Amino acid sequence: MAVFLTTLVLFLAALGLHLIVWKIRLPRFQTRTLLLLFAFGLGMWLLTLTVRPMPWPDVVHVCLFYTSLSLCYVITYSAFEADSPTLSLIRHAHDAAGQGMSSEEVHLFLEKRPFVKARLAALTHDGLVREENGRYFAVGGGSIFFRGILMFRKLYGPIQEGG
Amino acid sequence: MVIWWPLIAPVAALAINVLGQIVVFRWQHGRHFLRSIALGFLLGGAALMIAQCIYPPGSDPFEAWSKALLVNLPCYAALSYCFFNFANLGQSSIRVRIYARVAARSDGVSVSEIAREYNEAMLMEMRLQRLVESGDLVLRDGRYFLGRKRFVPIAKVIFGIKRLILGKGSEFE
Repeated sequence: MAVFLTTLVLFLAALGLHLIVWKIRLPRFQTRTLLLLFAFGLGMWLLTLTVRPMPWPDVVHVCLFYTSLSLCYVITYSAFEADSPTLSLIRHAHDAAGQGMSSEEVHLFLEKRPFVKARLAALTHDGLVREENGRYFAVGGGSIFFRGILMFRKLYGPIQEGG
Repeated sequence: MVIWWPLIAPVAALAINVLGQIVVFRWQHGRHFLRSIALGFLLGGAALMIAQCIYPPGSDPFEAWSKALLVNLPCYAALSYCFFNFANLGQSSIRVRIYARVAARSDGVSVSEIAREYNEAMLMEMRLQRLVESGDLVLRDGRYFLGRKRFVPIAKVIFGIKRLILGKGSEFE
């Protein structure tokens, strides 16, 4: 029970801190800041162990549970940060209710939301690619996360088109 | 070993989940991605349950079951959710696909090449077609109407949270 309660309190505290920081000022690198914030929360808790010790297996268990919950939140956060084209369209269709949307209206709605351009801008913003004379280049070796995804994807073999 | 078992169990279950998913997906020749994810999750979940029965965590039954149900089960679910998103990014994320394309070329990729491959209008048509085929949108008299409402609550929750955290409902606002 101690592992569960400690993780819950720790996670909720980090979440609260995140909301406070975001209300004060929206960070430039949101995902990175969020990861740092969760790591900071864990670090602070580990420091308190010098005053209130806990058995080692439980400490590691809290770390594992807290890390998995934090990563879950960070991943879900990316859905808040960037719009989903499908959900945006569904919401728009829901707002249009009984009237429906003509093909032109749908196209106009999506034209105002250039998802590919936005993703390209996000890659540039995150420092993963740079633009030079109208061409895009990968910066350095890329992030570990992106390289990890690309390496893992190879295990599956060829993938279907889509987006 | 017994002391560390509760900790090892969800990680081992995740490993079985990942391996199971890869094997099932490859076995099905790269089709039915979501089905392979679900099967991997069930395989790992079964392994977790077996692990909990072999070595119940802790000697106190209350402590043992609270660890198994309140910690290890959500921990495994959270790790599996992370894995699903990680694997799914490689399958469908536009951002990852563009990055993979750019990273593969040392001479870079031009904007027009990206625009040609990831044509907004074409992606839009594919998306619309997919939504009509799944019944989420209904095309009637040349107009699109909302069909199945399964995505509406998800969209509402996500846009609500966006408003709460980011102060805006859309990245394009």
